[in-house]
Amino acid sequence: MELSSGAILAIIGAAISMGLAAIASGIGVGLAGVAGAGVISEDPKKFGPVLVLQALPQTQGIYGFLGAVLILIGVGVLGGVVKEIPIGMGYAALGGGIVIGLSSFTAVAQGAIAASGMGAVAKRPETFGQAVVLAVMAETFAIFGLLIAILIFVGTKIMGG
Amino acid sequence: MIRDVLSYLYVNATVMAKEGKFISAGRWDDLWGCTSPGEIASLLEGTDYFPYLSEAAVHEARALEKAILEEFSALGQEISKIIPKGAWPIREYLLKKWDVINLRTALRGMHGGLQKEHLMDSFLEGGELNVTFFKSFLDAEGMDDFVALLTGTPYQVLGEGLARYHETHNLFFLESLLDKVFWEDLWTKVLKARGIKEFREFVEVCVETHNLKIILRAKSDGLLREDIDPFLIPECAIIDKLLSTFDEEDLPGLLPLLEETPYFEPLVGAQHEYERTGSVVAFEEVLDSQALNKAQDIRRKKPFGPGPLIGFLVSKETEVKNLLAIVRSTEVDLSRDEVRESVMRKKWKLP
Repeated sequence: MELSSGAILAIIGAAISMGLAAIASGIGVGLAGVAGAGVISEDPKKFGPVLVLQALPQTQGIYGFLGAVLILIGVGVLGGVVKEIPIGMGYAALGGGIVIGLSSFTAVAQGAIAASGMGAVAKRPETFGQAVVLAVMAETFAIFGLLIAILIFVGTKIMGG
Repeated sequence: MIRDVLSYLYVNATVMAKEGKFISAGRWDDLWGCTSPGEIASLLEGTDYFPYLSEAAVHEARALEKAILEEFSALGQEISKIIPKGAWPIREYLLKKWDVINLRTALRGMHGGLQKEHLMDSFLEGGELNVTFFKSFLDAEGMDDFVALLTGTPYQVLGEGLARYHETHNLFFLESLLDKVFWEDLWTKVLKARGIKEFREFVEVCVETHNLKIILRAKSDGLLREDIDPFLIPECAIIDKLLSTFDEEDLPGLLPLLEETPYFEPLVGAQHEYERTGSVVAFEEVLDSQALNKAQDIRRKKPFGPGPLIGFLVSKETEVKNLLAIVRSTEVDLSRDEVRESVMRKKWKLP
């Protein structure tokens, strides 16, 4: 099957979106998981709050997955028939994928915040709400990244074209 | 940066979870009013100390003290196993501290003529020297015998203090040498180690306060510079000025020489108490609190590094010291206010 240059660029964008997001989320979840293990080793009853905090850095991975799926649908890979994609549109898809992938690195900071939050919750359980809010703050920029990518996809007709 | 954060994540989370089990302010308030080991034991229910309480601990202050120290020892061993490899001086600090605690117990037992079976029962596992080694002390007939048994260990330098001990019959000299060996060894190691800047800062404060305590006590007791040299830890710039004029100045005259150091204001603040009581304990207490303040400062500044670990270790030690002060107070019939004052004043002692 012969793919156009635009389609290849778009597929690379999808790969970057998912790949970088997976790495970032993996690091973030890892950071939080190590801390979570420390808390649970001391107090297994804290598993609930620890799990919630550990899950937070996973969302960037979901954004990366979402971005990749949107690109692949736009290109037609998921439909089974790859469209003829102009090179400009391919670059736009690549840009969208890069935006999502890079903004996913907020998951690393979020993992560190969640890890500290777990310590705080272990010490004072009533701080759980505040710990979640602090960790969610880091999420904001990943959401901005996803929104910009979606605007790129809509504006360049990758989505809904 | 991520590697540094990651290496301390597990231990920091663990110690923060342990901090959640610290004795609460409300429970401290109740503990201050306790007049018997049984009351203290009942208030320790739900804390980490409770599983270590034996039947005897409910009736006997000595057994309760031992239970508290056993918990502290077990905690030290647990933490030493999860400390990151790069932070090995912190592990040494945790382990060697128990050698010093056991040796101090032996020194005090020998000095006070404690019954051998009581002394034997007081030694705790947790240090680098095992309890079997300490049991060999039971054959010692006197302090000379005891110190001779330390030959071949880092603590053999205690022999240097024997003459003055016999002269004054004061344990201060031997205990100061014990502290010197502990801190000097740690100080030498942290100066060489890499990646533990915060712990080095903490040990530096402990070394400085050790030296300052020796200098102030020696001045108060009318000793000469040459008398205190064996007890001082070298590589400590802060004491150079004090030592250069040690024999000329009186104690209040030494304090202005510390003006550019963080110890000046607290020491001047304690001067009135010193003049009132004539005891250097007032100075020693403010110096002790400097180490505690330093640990808390490191904790605030390095929340992702060794800060929480150092802060926890010092806070835990403070909790144990305060608890022991309360247990001991039940043996001497102190009022609630007197106990409270005693606990508040003995905030921090090492080791």
